[in-house]
Amino acid sequence: MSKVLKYSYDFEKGVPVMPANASARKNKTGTWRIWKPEINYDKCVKCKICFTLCPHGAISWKGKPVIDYTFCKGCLICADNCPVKAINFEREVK
Amino acid sequence: MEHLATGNESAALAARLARAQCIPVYPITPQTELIETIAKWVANGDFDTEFFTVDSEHSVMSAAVGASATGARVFTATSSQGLLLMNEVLYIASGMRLPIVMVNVSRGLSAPITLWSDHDDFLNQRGAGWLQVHAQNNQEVLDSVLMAFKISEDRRVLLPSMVNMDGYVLSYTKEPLTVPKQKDVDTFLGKYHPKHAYFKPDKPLVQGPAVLRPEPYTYFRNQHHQASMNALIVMREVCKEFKKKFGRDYGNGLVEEYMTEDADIILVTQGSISTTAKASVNEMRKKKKKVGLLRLRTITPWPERQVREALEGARHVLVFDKNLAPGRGGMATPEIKASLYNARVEPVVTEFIVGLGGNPESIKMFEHAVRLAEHDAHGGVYWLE
Repeated sequence: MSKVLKYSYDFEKGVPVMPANASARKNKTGTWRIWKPEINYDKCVKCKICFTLCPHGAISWKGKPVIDYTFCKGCLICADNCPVKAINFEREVK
Repeated sequence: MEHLATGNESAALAARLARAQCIPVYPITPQTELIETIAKWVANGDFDTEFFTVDSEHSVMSAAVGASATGARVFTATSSQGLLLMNEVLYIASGMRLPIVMVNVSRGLSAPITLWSDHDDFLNQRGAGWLQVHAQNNQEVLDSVLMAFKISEDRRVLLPSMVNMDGYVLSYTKEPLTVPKQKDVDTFLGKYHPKHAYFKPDKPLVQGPAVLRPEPYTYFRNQHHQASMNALIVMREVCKEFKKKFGRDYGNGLVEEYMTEDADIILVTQGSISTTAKASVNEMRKKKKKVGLLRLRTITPWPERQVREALEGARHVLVFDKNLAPGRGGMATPEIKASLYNARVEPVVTEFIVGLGGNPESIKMFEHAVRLAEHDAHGGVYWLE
């Protein structure tokens, strides 16, 4: 059955806005991973390029880049952009 | 303070008086002088704002949306092809309910490419959900931009505004200009403190999120429509307040009536051609012809009641369209006809396509149009030069 829609003007709710509750932290994207990057700290020159480019923020800086595998999707942007090829990757079988 | 300023300079002055905090721009003839003026002030330290150029008009509006979403007061300007390139983001700006104010310096559309003024670009954006105001002279450009900030930032509206001025005829023509005092503008506008659009690291927010079900989408579109209709009320209030503060009267801010009370023949115009049309009305009144003029000032939201009340009772209504939707004709004529559907006495509506590509309008042309319409009982379509 069809009905007549009646809305009153409500500026508080009538604007398409919603609170963002750090949802990226809840979504453990590490399970998506097919390729696993690993940093070879002997080669690493600490240029911070991988740290800056990681789209998920899965690489944190603790004096050196550290990958958090709970969130790393394995997109390999870090490995692709490493100037000294210090990030190796291999296929992860799950 | 009396000034001599072009339309571009008056729009730039209005942005400075309103203390716009962010101005992303991309140059396009005939708007370039506007942003050059602002750039000069910023370089000299006369205007403290975040002023930057980006790679295209699409990016201009994207930057404006981003800046406005942080809660800043944003101003920008464009013209013709630039406005069309912005088109996609215009809908996003209005849907996110961001009170951006943009000046459009109207210019005909390509192809064939032209630099001269007609209203195709501006009128093509009627569905974008913006508030659209059409100025007739440089003073009104300045005043409309100031009022646009006030109207857009009102909580009953919260929609972006587009102020249109005609390219060349206004944008590059010096006219006497009364510039309001900075102190008065500050008290008139106040500060903008949004409660819906702010980006803060400690309070994460998604603006314009995905709404994948039709019910909430319908709800938000309905709210958008209601906000736009609320603007009809807010505009009247703001115009009244503006008159009190600065002494310049824009009536109800929606339509301007010039000698329409006893008129048998009413010309309907918008933009700068209205000033020529008013001169022709004066000429024809001298010859004892009962002619009046209705100027459409606000295009969106459409002031249907005001248009009907002004026009009903006249014998002939002549709509001058400085625009063309090929396959349909002028864009204002259907709106005028629709508004007159419930009128007590319906006049004959005659359509005139004039001034395309900056074709100049003259007093003689309006007199000729009146002669044509008087002998046309069926309301035809005429192209005039």
